[in-house]
Amino acid sequence: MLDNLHSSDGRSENGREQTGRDQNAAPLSDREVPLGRRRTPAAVHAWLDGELPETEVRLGDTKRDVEFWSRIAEQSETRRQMRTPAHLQAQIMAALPQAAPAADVTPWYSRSIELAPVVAILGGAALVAAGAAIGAAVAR
Amino acid sequence: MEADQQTIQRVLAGDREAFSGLIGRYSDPLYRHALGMTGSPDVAEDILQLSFIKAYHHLAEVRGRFDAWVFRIVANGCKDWLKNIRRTHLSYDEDDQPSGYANPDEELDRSELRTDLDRALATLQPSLREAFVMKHVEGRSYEEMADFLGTTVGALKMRVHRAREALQVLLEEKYA
Repeated sequence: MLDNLHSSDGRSENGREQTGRDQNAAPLSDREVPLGRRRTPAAVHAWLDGELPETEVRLGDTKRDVEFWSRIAEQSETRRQMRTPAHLQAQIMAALPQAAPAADVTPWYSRSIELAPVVAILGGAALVAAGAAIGAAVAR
Repeated sequence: MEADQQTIQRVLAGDREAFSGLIGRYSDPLYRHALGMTGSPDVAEDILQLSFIKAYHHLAEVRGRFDAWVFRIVANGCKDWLKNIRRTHLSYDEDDQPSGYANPDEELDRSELRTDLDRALATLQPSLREAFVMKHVEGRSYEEMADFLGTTVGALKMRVHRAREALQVLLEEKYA
């Protein structure tokens, strides 16, 4: 929480306590910004995404970021080696019902279908053409 | 290795034991995901167990890749848990994991970072935490993440970037 250094002690002229919204409405330049809060440079994101080599970011202003993220990466690597506890597979198998899984009971009209975009466009065009043909026949 | 579809057919035909092949094949990455999302080995085990039981019951409904399908079950289980439980401190015990550190001081230092990283991750929105865990803890590519989560690479990059920004703000002062 930031200190309110105004003589009104956080209250407006009519004595009511100001809300956080009122305080946030102050011009950006007037707000107190905690030191050390800065955006991660785009080059560092690019390096972390594998789009830039480390040598290109481990210099100048971004050296500190690289060291920070290298420590996080070491920690993540340790976690990546973790394995499922040995007893878990047997525990899951013991908890499964003896019966085989039920067959899919989803009715055909509720099932999702996969459609390539070309097929969808051709299908749509065919429907429009059929509609136009029927419309013309009815109009005659 | 037997393809997933063949294994699924065997299970559906009544070979219950064949399901252990699917568990063995995919439990490690799914466990790491659940652990990264919840921060608790006990909860991760529970989510994994419930997810595989659910997968068994609905096995006949698998369309496409089994690994992506079962991942979504686990991911939803993690999100449901996060919705129900608000935790400010998350830390897990890795006593059963081998220690690779040279000396106790170094191990203590790493352990502190691990705890702080867990706490920082716990403050992130579930979607940002999910993206960060998949990218940096599980080491998945953006393409694979997009495939599993059914969203775009651009959206996931944005989530990972936002998660990094937030974590750096929370941890930089102590660790940079």
